[in-house]
Amino acid sequence: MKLFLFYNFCNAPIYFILAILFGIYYVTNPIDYLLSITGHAAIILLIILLLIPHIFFRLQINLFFYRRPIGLYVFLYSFLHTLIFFALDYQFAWPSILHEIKLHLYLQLGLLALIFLLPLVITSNDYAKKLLSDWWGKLHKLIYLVIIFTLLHYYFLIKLDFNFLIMYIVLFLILFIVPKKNAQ
Amino acid sequence: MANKKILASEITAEKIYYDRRNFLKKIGFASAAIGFSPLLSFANMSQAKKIPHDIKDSLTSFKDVTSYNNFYEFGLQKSSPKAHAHKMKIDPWSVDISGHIETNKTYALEDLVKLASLEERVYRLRCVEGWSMVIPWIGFSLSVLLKKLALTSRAKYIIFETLFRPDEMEGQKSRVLDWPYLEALRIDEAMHPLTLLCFGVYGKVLPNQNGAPVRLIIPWKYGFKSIKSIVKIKFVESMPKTTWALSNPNEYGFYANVNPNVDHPRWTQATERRIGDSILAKRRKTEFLNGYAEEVGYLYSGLDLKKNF
Repeated sequence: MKLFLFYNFCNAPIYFILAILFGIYYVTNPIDYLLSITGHAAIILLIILLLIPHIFFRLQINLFFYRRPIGLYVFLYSFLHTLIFFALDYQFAWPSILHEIKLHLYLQLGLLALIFLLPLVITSNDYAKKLLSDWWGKLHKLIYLVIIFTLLHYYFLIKLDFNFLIMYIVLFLILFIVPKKNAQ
Repeated sequence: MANKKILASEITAEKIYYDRRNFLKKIGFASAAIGFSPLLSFANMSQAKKIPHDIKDSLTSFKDVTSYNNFYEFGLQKSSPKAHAHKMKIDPWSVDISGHIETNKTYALEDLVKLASLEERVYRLRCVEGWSMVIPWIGFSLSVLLKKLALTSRAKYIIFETLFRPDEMEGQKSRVLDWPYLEALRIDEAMHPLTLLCFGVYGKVLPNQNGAPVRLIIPWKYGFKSIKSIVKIKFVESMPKTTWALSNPNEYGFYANVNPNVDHPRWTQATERRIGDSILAKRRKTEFLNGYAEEVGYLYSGLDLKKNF
């Protein structure tokens, strides 16, 4: 039951995406909407991911089991976000895509975030964790770089509506600053 | 009772009947009946003369045109204007005209709309955010109004101002932009016959979220130049500061001509997504001056458009 709820929660944006793709849910600018859903989903799941140690040390509720799937979902939505841009928005027209990347800082930052996410995904399995032992934790500190690039990526594409960005920055700052009691 | 006589005088004469029909038509009976702005019911939008055009693309749906809007006076989401614009009172409405003209003038909306017969013109609209629409606007050339005003030789630019009424326009309560919204044109741009003083869309008076009751449409410039809900017009001598240029001078210039060769840091200007196209459709190439180069290109000859963006 718990797992059923958990996976449905993480899948919710996918249900939205499918509803839009199959024309069940009408939006005026579907590609923009899909980019926005997947982007926000990735950031919100990142925030939840960082919340888990706090929940453990403050409330003694152990949710560490959920960290790996949430991390993978962060990657899934980041990947879909990028794929929608490449496949739907630009139809894999590489010359145009490269031209756009060259011109637009927000695209470069977004790609950097995705690239730094890759080693984390590759080493997310038990085997890699054992193999890397002490290095694993250090490697996974890259997530902080991913967060910074993601927020900058978002900042550089906003026209006027900074409300969500400000909310995200405040939440990340709280998660960074508030000490995890008993944390080593 | 059974055979109550009908007096000859009770029967409506045919001529009077037709006069009455014409009168009802004239006052835009249809638009009044379906509850649009009573002020503009006198202008029968559906009777506007259809001006021929060579746009082969299909029109963007009325639903998309009236529900996907940037009108930050009503909020920051595309859906905000439709949700909140009904609070804006547009009756009564007048436009104050001042600056370098012989005498200042105030036009009541009902007089303004009668300056010329209404035309339906299908224009492409290109938003700076990289999406576009094709819309049947109703109005007449702004030049009709300008020719009625005695401009002095110092009138080089024309400034337009949107209604400022935070109680009715809740987006104005937050200072995301420097209200009231200002836009401006060079006089020759304003005089160009393509520049439309617009009162309606899709055979109806403008819905509030589209800039009721009177707005500008300048089809070769990015959408934000086409200012909505105009209350003031002023003629000035030097190039004025406009809202977006003030807000972010590196990104928004005075001219804001649609130009695929001048990029914007946030959005590509080389291509655009046409609203209503399939999710699998390709982006379309953005045309120089939004495809109106033949008509308006001469206005910018000798001007470095990379610098004067």
